[in-house]
Amino acid sequence: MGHEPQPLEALSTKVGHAGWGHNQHFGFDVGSQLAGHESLSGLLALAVCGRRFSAEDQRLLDDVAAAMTVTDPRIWPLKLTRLVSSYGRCLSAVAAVNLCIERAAVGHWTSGDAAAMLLEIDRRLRALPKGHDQGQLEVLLARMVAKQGRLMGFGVPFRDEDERVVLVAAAVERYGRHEGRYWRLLERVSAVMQRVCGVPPNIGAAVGAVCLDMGMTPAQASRISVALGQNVYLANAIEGAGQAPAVLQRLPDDCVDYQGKPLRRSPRTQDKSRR
Amino acid sequence: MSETAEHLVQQQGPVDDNAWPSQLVARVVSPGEHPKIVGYDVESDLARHYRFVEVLLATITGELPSRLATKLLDATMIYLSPATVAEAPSHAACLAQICGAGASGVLSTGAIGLAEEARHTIEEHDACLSWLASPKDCLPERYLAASPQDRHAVDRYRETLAKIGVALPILEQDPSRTAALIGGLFACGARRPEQLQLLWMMARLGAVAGEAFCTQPLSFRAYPMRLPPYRYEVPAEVNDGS
Repeated sequence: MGHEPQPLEALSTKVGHAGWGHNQHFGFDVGSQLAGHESLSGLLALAVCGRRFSAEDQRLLDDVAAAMTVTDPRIWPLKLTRLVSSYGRCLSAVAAVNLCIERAAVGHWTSGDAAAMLLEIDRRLRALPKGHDQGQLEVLLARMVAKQGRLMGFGVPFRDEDERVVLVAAAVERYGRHEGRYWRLLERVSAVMQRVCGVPPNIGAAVGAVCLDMGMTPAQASRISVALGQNVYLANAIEGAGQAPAVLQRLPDDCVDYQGKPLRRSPRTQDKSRR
Repeated sequence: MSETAEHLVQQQGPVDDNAWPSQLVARVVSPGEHPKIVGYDVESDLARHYRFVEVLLATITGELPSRLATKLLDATMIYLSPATVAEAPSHAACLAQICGAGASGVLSTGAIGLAEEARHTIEEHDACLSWLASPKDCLPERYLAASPQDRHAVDRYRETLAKIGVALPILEQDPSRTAALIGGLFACGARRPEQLQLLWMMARLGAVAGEAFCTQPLSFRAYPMRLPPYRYEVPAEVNDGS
């Protein structure tokens, strides 16, 4: 037996405690307060934000999750799940895609980046004199685009508009959230970006605005967005693991175009042949 | 429409209707019967004349290291290798083993933990990397040895390197052990954060996996559940969403 170590200072947690016959989560008793009362999206929002959301918020998050359901296995992060699951297991593929999208330039995480961008625009607009007009918003956005190269949450690759934004907008309208501060800001910014740059908003901006209007921070927007998108990864990982296709485990050699250094002899091989 | 016919319907969408390349691009490994790494034949050249760490370095820098750099890399990676069970990657891998994860789950857990440890460590040493690239003034204070043990560890590293004929400028700055070892990897040609992260991971994965594989699967009762202790705090204001 080793010696008894010095006592360590306790870490605090608000997340949970396993008791005798009852479990606690963020101050709620699981059996009496959460089970039978909370939806899956509500539990995910609770996990991300440490607070409960209203039933209507939860339904809107459900609709956002449904709107974000784009599952084509050829899309980059989803192809990644197909490759990792090609050896027959699904959760490692789900883990891999979650690792890939944290802070990535595409995927659910970008909702937080777009939310941060909306907050920044809002901050700059509030610094303008009261009664500023659309022209000043145009100047502000033009400066931001010139400085950053792009606006997070704007730009829809390979198509004219992001069909997911249309679905989220319909949900926002359905729940009367279209008057939300950040949704309205997104509409104003979108109008300018579309007219001046020809760049429409993408799903990241829409989800970012919805999350901000629910009182979330940009970091929370990223995390809830990823949490709500797990169905997309699971579906691909499960089907991919079931198929375990040999072609994904290794593509034929002629599918690879080598553009690296040409064939050469190493210094030691050259030394040996000189001797 | 029959089920078979349904399957044959031509789908249209952005992926279907845009032009895409038909091949993957390789820039390090050329596939085929005689694979090459950065242009060197693996079987008839590298395997006969080079050590694994040299090939590893070539894969990320594009060039094979000198014999002296190889000795430095070998020694530095050995100094980096002892990832103890007290450290998160190894601890996590052991927990995966206790949970009965199986080898791939244990290795994946350890590798993810190591990747995070490497990212965190290299990010914390960003100003140290700047100093290594242009060592003009003193090494920033936060990278200096913080304890006699730290200093003694660097002394031993310095002695090891002296025996192989290497002297690193950073070792004259009273660095911490971690800063000194990052300096060693840097001197081998791993200059970019991602290159350093890979070498960090590779150096420590063996110890992480070895410790985990020696742990008894499903040994739940033998695991110190309260190390360190946690204190559950009910949030002061419980928001019930109403």
